[in-house]
Amino acid sequence: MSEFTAPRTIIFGEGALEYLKEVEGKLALIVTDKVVNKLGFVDRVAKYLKEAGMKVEVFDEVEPEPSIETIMKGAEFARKYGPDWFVGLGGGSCMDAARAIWILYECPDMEVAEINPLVKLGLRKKARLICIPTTSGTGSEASWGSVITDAKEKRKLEVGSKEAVADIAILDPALPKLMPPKLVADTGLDALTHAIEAYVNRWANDFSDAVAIKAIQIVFEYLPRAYINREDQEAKDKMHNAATMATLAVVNSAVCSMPHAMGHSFGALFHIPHGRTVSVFLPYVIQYSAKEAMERYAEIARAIGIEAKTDEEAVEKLVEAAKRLMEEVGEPTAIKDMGISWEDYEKNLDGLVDRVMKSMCTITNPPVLDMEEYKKLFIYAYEGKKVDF
Amino acid sequence: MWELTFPRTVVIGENALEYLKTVEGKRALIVTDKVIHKLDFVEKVANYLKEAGLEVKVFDEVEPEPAIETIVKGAEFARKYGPDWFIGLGGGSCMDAAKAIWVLYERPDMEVAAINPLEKLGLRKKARLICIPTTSGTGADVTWAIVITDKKEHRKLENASREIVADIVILDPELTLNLPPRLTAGTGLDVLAHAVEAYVSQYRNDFSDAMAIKAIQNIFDYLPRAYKDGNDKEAREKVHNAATMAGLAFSNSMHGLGHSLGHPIGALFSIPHSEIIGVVLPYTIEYNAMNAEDRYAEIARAIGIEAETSKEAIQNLVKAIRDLIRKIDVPASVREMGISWEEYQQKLDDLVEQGSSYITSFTSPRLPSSEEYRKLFVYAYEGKKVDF
Repeated sequence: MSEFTAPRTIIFGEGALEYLKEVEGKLALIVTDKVVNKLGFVDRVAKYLKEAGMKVEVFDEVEPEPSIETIMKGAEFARKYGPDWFVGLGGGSCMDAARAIWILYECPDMEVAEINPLVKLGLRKKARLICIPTTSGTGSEASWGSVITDAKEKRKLEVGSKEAVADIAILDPALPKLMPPKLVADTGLDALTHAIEAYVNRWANDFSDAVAIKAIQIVFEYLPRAYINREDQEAKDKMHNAATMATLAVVNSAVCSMPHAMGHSFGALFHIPHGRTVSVFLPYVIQYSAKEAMERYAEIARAIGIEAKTDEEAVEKLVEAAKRLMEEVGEPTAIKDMGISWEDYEKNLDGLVDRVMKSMCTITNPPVLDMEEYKKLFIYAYEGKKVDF
Repeated sequence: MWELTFPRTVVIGENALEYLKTVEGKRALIVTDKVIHKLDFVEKVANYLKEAGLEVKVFDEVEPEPAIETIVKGAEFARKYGPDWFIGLGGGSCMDAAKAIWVLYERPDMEVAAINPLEKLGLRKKARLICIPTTSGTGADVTWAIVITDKKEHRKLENASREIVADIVILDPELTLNLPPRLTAGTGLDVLAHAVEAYVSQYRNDFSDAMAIKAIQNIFDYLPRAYKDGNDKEAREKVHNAATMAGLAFSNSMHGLGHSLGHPIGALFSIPHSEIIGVVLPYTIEYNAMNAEDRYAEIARAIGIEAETSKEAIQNLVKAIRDLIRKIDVPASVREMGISWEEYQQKLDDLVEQGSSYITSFTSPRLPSSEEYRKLFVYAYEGKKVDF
């Protein structure tokens, strides 16, 4: 038995934001950050909500990788006003924060660290959640988890529950229009990695397969266009949908897997943003995992139009295609090209492996690696060498 | 702006039914028919719900193509009992009946015919809906339409509202193991028609595309297996999932030409929908192809057809569908269904009239004139390749 959970309503395409005019409720609390607020998005969202007859309050104190303190502050803010709608507006941090604040608002006895899929939350007694991403890529609008920083303990908490998947996700392609190309590339490749992971992992199912393949096809076809030309509305539109589909695929099939585990570990030790650190491992993980999931990778390859006589050849060409895509959007395909010296990297190798081994991320990826293999994989990813073990 | 309505939770795979043990509530009303009630499904569902601490009652008076009277009766039954969960268990009729009864239960002031997408229903104040299909075909578990028969006026009411999409859909392949081969074949082709039509529809979008392609792949790969061996659990699961995915795809993009050819033949010759829809599908593809070449070629590629040009891909796609149809012993033309030419010819005018009045085909890539409808009906009868 597996469970596929999705927001009941997904609004997408040009003008999607206008859907807000139809939402019924009394008071909406927009959870966002100062940057999004300055860009004028908050005003637009608030205007539509007011047209729907609602009062609107704004909590714009979300910082990147929001802390427990911010969530608690937000929940207190919410309790003061008593919203029946939460609107997470912004990137992943804002939507993650909105979800966590909403949970604490509904369950005042709970602490952030206690939120997990096995605890019955009983949400929606007081309010519901709308997520509106202003960047394409994080997929928080389709996810049930939030990443919250525990500053005291210096750790990141991944908290969540299937109950906490948004009621409504609004994907308006006009919002990510302002994304700088670098961010378009980072988040696009993050979506690609999510979708590929979802497709090859052990808990994949027909529904996650469907959205994963479509997301992969879209990224290969439209990411270069979205990257090169900010005005290419069709490409932006497609990438916005792909990000959500990739997340639907991954949250309904995997915890998260090798490229993410390796990327998180690498990003944490070398202080590099999430998107890039994950995708750089993708080619190497494909090569390694193909041992066990050859057929699935070959299916991905064929879905993006790769012709090959054998599955091996298809996978090889898939890796080439992924690297070519990364190059096209100005992303490194090996860690040595990221301005990190071998000395520095080597020094941290044990730390990198240690973090990955401790991560829960990797249990659903096809093969389970030992420390030695992870170490080798990190080295190959540094050197850009074809995985041969 | 596009709106996709999704049951929040879809539970899939072996033992999916056990999910019912986790449902929270007080009273469940199972809406089903007498045939299903005779099988042990109702008992199984009821037992799981009882394990979850719910009281359970059964309304098993749903007939095929349920009448308004049945819905009204069901709603009365419900009002006396006061459920907080409705369970639509069975084929499309049972699930549609459950939806309609639920609406009247929440809205005693309303009539079935008044349900429409623009009317705010305000459901879920009293109860929610779980759909559990026992056939793999209609997609009624995820669509926002209800088909109810108005016997007085001799017409079918097609009512719709996004609010009636179920809260939880449970796809347990076990429930489909006993479907007879002929029904498996027919409903499987209905799924294929839904998915193909959704994929070429002018209302298609990225989400419907994703679901449609996967459904088509599943049908090609697994329908012959499910037909040959009803106990092939893997094949049953794949076909069962395909039905729901196709439902999600077409629910958001409307029906196409296959249905406006199939429905009139079905209605005038008393042939069940599942028997006719697969028969006419190849002809609609041949006819539509010139306006949607790329889309059909994409479908062809998705099922592993290699071709140099789009035209060749479409030809091979039609051939692949004909092969599939033959493999599962479905007639390749209306003639092969045993309808005499005399009788068919007599009703041609009516067929054309009904076909062209079928509103949902307006999203189809190419819209036939009356003359073309006539030709399509004739070609589908004779089994002739569409060349116009």
